[in-house]
Parts: sequence; C-alpha cells; structure tokens
Amino acid sequence: MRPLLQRVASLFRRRALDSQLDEELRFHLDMETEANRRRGMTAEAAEQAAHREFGGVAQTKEIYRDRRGLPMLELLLRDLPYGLRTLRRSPGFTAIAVLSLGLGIGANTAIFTLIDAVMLRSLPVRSPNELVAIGNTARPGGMSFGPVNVELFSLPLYLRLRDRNSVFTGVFASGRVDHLTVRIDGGGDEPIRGRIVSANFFDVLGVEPALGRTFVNDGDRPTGANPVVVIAYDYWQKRFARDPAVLGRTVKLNGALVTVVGVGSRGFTGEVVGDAADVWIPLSMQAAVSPGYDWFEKPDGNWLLLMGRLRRGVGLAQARAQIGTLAIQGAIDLTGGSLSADEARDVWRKGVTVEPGGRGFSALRSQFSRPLLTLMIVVGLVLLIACANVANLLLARATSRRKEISVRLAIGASRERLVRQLLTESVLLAALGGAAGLFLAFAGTPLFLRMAAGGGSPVPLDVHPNTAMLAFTAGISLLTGILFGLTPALRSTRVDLSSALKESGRGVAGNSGWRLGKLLVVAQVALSLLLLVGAGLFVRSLMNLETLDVGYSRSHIAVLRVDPTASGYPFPQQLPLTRRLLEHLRSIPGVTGVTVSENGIFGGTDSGSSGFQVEGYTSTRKEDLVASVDQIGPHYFSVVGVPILAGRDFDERDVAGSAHVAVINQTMARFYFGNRDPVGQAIVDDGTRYTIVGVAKDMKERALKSVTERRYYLPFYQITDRIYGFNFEMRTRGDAAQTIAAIRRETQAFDGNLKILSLAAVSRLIDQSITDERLIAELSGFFGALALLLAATGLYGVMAYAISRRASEIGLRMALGADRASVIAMVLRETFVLVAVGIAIGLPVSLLAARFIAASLAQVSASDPVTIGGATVVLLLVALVAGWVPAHRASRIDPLASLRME
Amino acid sequence: MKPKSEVLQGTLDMVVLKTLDTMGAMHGYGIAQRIQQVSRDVLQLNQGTLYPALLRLEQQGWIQAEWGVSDNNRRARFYSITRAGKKQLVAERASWNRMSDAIERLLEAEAG
Repeated sequence: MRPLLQRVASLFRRRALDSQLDEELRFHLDMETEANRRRGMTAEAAEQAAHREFGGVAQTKEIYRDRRGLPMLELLLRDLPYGLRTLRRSPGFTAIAVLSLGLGIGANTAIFTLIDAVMLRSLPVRSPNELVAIGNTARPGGMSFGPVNVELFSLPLYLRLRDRNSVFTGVFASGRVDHLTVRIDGGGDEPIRGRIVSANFFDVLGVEPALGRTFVNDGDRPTGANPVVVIAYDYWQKRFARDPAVLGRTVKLNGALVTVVGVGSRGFTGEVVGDAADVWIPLSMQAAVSPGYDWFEKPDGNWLLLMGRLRRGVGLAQARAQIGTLAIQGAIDLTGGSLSADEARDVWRKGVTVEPGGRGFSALRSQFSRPLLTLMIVVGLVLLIACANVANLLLARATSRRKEISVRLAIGASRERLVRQLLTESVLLAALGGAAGLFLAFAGTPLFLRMAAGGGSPVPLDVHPNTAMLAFTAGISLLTGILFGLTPALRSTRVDLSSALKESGRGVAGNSGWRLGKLLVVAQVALSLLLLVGAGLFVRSLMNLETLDVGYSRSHIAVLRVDPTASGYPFPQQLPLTRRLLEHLRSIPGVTGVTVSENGIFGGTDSGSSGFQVEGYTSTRKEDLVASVDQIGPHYFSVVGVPILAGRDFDERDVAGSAHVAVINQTMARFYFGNRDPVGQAIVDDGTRYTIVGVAKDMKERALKSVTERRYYLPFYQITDRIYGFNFEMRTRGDAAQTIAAIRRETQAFDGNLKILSLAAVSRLIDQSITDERLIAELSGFFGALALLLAATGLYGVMAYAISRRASEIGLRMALGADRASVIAMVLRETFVLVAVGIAIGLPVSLLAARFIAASLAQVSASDPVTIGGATVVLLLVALVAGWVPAHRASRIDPLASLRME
Repeated sequence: MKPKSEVLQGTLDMVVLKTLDTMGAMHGYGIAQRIQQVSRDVLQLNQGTLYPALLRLEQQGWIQAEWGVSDNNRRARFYSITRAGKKQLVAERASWNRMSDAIERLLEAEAG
C-alpha cells in the first residue's frame, strides 16, 4: 500500500524528482571520475571509465522512473497528446469511427440503463439485502375480490402476519390508490401519484425524512386516524420548489383533508420500481382518500403487498416457511370456515411467494425483462459490428502509417511501446465514442420510455445518469477500444523494416491485413443478417398483432370508464345513473350506438367464475368449471360489432325481475356442448339458473396473444350485486379517436363531478396492451437498420481500400483490353463473394437464434421464409450499393497514370 | 583474474541494508564503493542497478533518504537504515542462512 501511495504521489512531482535523480547520478559519476583521475587517468578517459563502470545512465533512469511512478499511467499521459494529435490529423476517419462507436456504445448504455433501472438496482434504503417481499410482486397495482388470496393481501391478513411472525424485525404493507388528485391552496385538481402504506413503512425501509417526520408507528388503527401524508423529495422539488414551509400545510387528496408532515429522503421514490410515488398516505386514511371504497376491515378485498426486514440470523427459507404457514392459516381463519377443504388445499398448493425484496416491487420487471435482455443482445451485436468497422478503418489506416511506424521502429522504439501507443489511440477513440454514446443514451432513454408507454405518459422510471451507468459505459468503451484496436495494432507493428522503408508506401506487403479486413466484413454481414432476421420477425409479429382479427373493428369503438362511487353516487343510484348516461351519450353526433359493461374490452379488469354447473355436462376436474364472466348492457354485441351465432343478444327485456339469462362465447359453447345447440340450456351458479339465450362469436377482450378463454355474459341490469366497473362502449361512425373530445365534453355536461377514469378509442387501449412487443419490434428494427448501415460502410471501406491498393493491377488489366463493364463486374463479383460467404454463415446462425425468440412471436414462425428471404434480399441490395461506388471508381482508373506510378 | 559473480537482486537489498547498518548514513557512491571494497574481486556490482534498488528500499520504508553535504562539499543524497529496515535485515539474514545451509548440505550430499 505504502509503495503504491508513494508512486501515485510521485506522479505529481515528476519534474522535481527527475532533476533530483539527475543530480544524484551526476554526483556519483563525478566522484568516480574524480577517483579515476587520482589514479592517473586523463580527464576524458576517467569520465569514460566512470560511465563504463556505472552502466547505462539512460537505462538506469528509465528503470528508476518506472519503479518510482506508475509507468503505465505515465506512458499513457505521454501517449495521449500524441494520440489526440494523430486523430486530429485525420478528422474524417476520426468522425466516422467516433460516430460508429458512439451509436454502438450509446445503444448499449441506453438499454443497460433500462435494465439497471428495472431489473438490477436496489432500493435506496438501509440494507436492502435484508428485505423480503411477500406476495406477487408483479402486481403492485393489483386488487382482487374473493375469499382467499395470497398473491395480494387483505388488511386483516396483513395485521395477522405482522403481529404473529417471528422472522422479521418489521413488516410493512402497501397498496395502490388510483386516480388520485390533489387540491393545493384552493387551486384546481392536479393529478398526483400516491401509494397507501402502513405506518411502519419508513421505519422498516430505514428511510429518514429529508424534512419533518415520517409516520408515527401506531399500528394503523383506527380508520380515519392520522390525516397526514409524507411527500417525495422529487415532488417537493417539483411542486413546492423545496419550500420548507410545506410542512404543516393542509391539502385535499381526493377530497380528504390531510397535512403534510414530512418529505422523504432524496432519491427515494417508493418501494415500487417503475411507479414513482409523489405522496405516501397512511393505511388508516385508505377509505378517506378512496371515497366509497372502504377496504379497511374487509377480509375479501385483497390489495396489499408486504415487505419485511429479516431478523439477524434468520434466513430466507425460514421466513418462507413461517410466512407461508401463517398466511394460509390466516386466510382460512379469516374466511370464517367458509372455505372448502378443496379450496384450502388449492391455496396451500399455490403457496405464498416469499422472495428477496431489495429491488422493490415492480410490474415492469416481469413484463420487460425478456424484451430488455433480448435487446441487450441485439445492441451487443450492433457494437460488435461497429468494432469490426473501426478495426477495418484502423487496418486501412495502418497501411498509410506504415512508413511512420517503420521509422519509429528503426530509430529504436520497441514494438511493445508502439503497440501501446496504437492501443492508446484506439482506447482514446473508444473514449470519444463512449462520450458520444453517453450523450446519445441520455437523449435516447427517455424516448424508449415514451415508446414503452404506448402513447400514454412516459413510464415514471428513474433513469437519471448514475454511477452504474457511467461505470458501464466506461467499461464497455475500454473493452471496445482494446477489442477493435489490438489486432490492428499487433498487425501494423509487424513490419519488415528494410522493405517497408524502401517502398514508396504503397506496396503489396500487408496482404494479411487485407485478408483480415475481408474476414471482418464477412463477420459483419453475418451479424447484420442475424439482426435483420430478428428484427424482421419481431416487426412481423407486431404487424400480426396490429392487424389481428379481434372480432370487432378496433377503430370504431370508444370506451369511457367512469367511477360513480368516487363521484358521490351511492350504490342504489348507480344503475339509474348509467341509464341516463347511456341516453345522453347516444345523442352525441357521430355515435351510432352505446352500451355498458362491467369489464368490457381492454378495460384492464376481468372477473372470473368457478364452481358453477353446466346442465348436461359433468366433469370431475375443477378446472373444467372455470370461466371468465362479464356483465353487459343491452345490445352489447351489436354495438361492439360481434356477431351472435345462435339465439339473441341481450336487450331491454333483460332487467331485474325477468327470467335470468346468459350469453356464452363460442369457445364456451364448443367446450361444454360440442355440436349440440346451447341455446335453451342453462348454467347454474350459486343456486341461480341462467338460461343460455345466445352464443356470441369469440373476440379479444383482454389480451391479443392469449388463447381465448371460456366466457359467459350476464345482463348488466339484471344483477343486484354491487358492480365495480362502469365502462361505456360507443360505436362511432368515423374513427373513434375523432369523437373522444366530444364524448368528454358531453360527459362533463352530463355531470361535471362524474370522475372519468379513462376515455380512449379501443385501438389505443389495444396498443397499450402490447407496449413490450412494440418496444422490441421498433428498437430491434432500428438497431437492425443501424447494423445494416454499419456493415454497408464496412463493406464499402474494404472494397474502396482494395481498389486503391490494386489500382496498378486494374490499370494493367485495362491497358490489356479490359473494358469498364468488366472491371465493374469484377469488383462487384468480389463484393458478392464476401456478402455470400457472410450470408452463408449468417443464415444457419439466424435460424438457430430465432428459435430462442420463437416464444415471444405472434403468429409467425421462427423460420418464416418471407422474413428470412426479405432480410437476405435487403442485405444483398445494400451490398450492391456499397460495392457499386468503389466498382465505379475502379472503372475510372486511368491505365496510363496508374502504370506510370509504378 | 578470479571469476566475478553478479550481485543477485534479492541479495543486493540485503547487502545494502547491511552496509547502512554497519556504516551509518552514506550516499549512493559511498555504498557502491563500500560494497566493492568489502567484497573486492568477488561481487561485481553493476553500479547503475544500485539506484533503483535504493528507491525500492525507500519505498518499502526500510531506508530513508535526505539531502546533505558530502566530504568534498557537494550536495548529495544520504541514505540511512530505519527500524523497519533493521528488522528486515535480521529476517533476510536468517532466511539467507537457511538457504545457504540448505544448498551447502545439498552440495555435500552430491559430492558424497
């Protein structure tokens, strides 16, 4: 350690230390000379003898300096200015190299930033490695109703786990709060992102307030207690300009008065990655900020995710065992014995997920992990192609620098030293490329986030530049510099001195460099083909999804989702309200039909039913008696545009008091009735017999890629149970997107207080359901094009270089009678040989690699001949263009001039 | 002329330490003179290698250096052994003895 420190220190006093050494050695030599003279030598002989005795003074100094400082670093400091000068002398080369590398490195940095933010980074809390997440961490915004659920937890179940476990020093709960708005100082409603958390949230995470205090850990009871909130540092900065007077201010959150008591620590955006919170609300205020929805004591409202901090010495396995037992026992107890033995066993078998929680909860992680990793491979390949390009440029340049290098070797520079100098230059190039890449990544990452949001507001993900990102970029730049620089450096310093110096700098030696260049181009072509095939498959998959027959016209339906409960309508008034709103919406010009449903099309919610009976059908397997279910208004299918295959649609007859009826979808009809006619048969659920009056054609209601589920529909106005979703489907004469503004206006005219949760054309809702597909298709398409461009540049460079090297040969051919056409043909032939070899290698590799993405493709085979054929043709065409320019130039060579140069 | 042996790198450290231990503070030239004097005609010191060795010893904290004035009134750098250096010398001597004993025994056995 101590020598190292001294060495580093010596770097800063180089000049002073050098002169000290000079003085010390001079003293030694003078003394020796002096002694020699005393022995009777002449002055000159004495000095020579002293030097002889001493050995090489210069070598000694060199060894001494090496040992004194950090020689690598010192050499680097000496090489850098030289390298910079060299790069400045060839601005064209430098620009192309830096641009290639910048694009390659930038793409890697951008994707890495997303991977880091979504998959790698730990929460900025105390010892994140001690945290354990409980439940389905991919559902931080989840909410489900039903007796038992251990994916998400009810408040009573959370309290049991909190109080009865012995594995955690603390465990907190957190849940969603939707469509939160805040009113500050009597201003208008502003949207704000919030999260409902238990009072021990900040204590368990170990997050200190930047200002004020966090919650008092009082056990989260009773409901309505603690009307206080803690706001996030970012929000404090954005909304309050870091005004300390924010403490003690009272604001209205969804109509509830709360006081701001604290500001979270800087950089802390909550426990949900990809959903940064602006405000944290204590559990006790859940009902207050969600008017009409009170999950507080309800064991059947499952909406909380839990996170515990392990006690010292307790392992994950131990926590898993205890929490699993407690949760399942608790779930069974809390349902008051209404759970059948079968159901209890089911829950037990499914188990409770207890896993490391230091990276927080995230819905994005499961959705985007695969696309992001695929993209990381894609950008890695793009960078390889860029490296090959720059290596090729360096090889070509090495030829023009042969003289310089030979001279330097001849006057005594060691080869190692020259290689180091050349490597410094390439690392310098890579560093410049890295800086450009960093810049591109800064600009690109927010763009990717907007793309991932599918036209909505960008995903709130923290992608600020951070150390991980900078370290990644620096590391990858260094690696890149060595990767593309090493071979050309080794190659260009392997020079036969006498021949190199004799030549006029144009000779035929270095054929091996030319061969290596060809090899690099072949590799580039193969990699480009791989990327093009991949991109082609993803793009075709996306196109298939975009044009998939969903069973109705995507662009002619608008969906309005409202929340009468939060707008102050008690349940008994809600159905009459919807009838009035239906009438109102029907009067909008351009709307040709309106209906209503609980879940509807791509509304983001779904309901399930299990344990029902289908008359005339028996099965012992429980999973055979499971179906999705929706409650739909009159003329639902005709408004949406889905044909009724047998029987009838619901209409005004189907209201409370009339006979119970159901419509089933095709898949359900086929499953339970085969070839028989389902109309007139019945479903029996909870003692009610629903006569099937119609069969509707299958349609896509939730996701494009999944298999259509069995589904039955019940009349919206026949059910007396509480309904949680209110979606109005409107058929429009023209493009639904054009009618959105009018619908919004009319809804507000109908009731200015009615809370609109969402309003969009179905096409837009569907687009938002395939953001991961779109992200990967668009980005891989973009990177594929980039790869193609880089490969074309490489091909062009190699051919142009070859032509310039062979000018005399070509001149000779022309002198001997070859015409221009045959010269062009010759050059193009050589280009095509390279491309063909690249394709021959790339094709099997592509076919093999495509198998790995087959699972994420929609309705396109991994060996789709159209895609693969198309990619090959595109590659050939681009190669033709890249080869044409040098070919054309070759045909313009003046035979006389080129021969005279010999 | 007797055959001369080059001073091995590791032994040079020991020799320098021993010299400074015996003689007190000395400049580089003096150390070189002394080593050649004491071992005259046997140890061939390449004087140039002495200075990097001195630097290494200084970096290890075994010797320290300061500028002073020589007998002939010139500025010179004087080296002296530190406490850590004395300890190191003892250790190196012990290990040297062990080594030379071992080699001695080996050679004896060979001869026998």
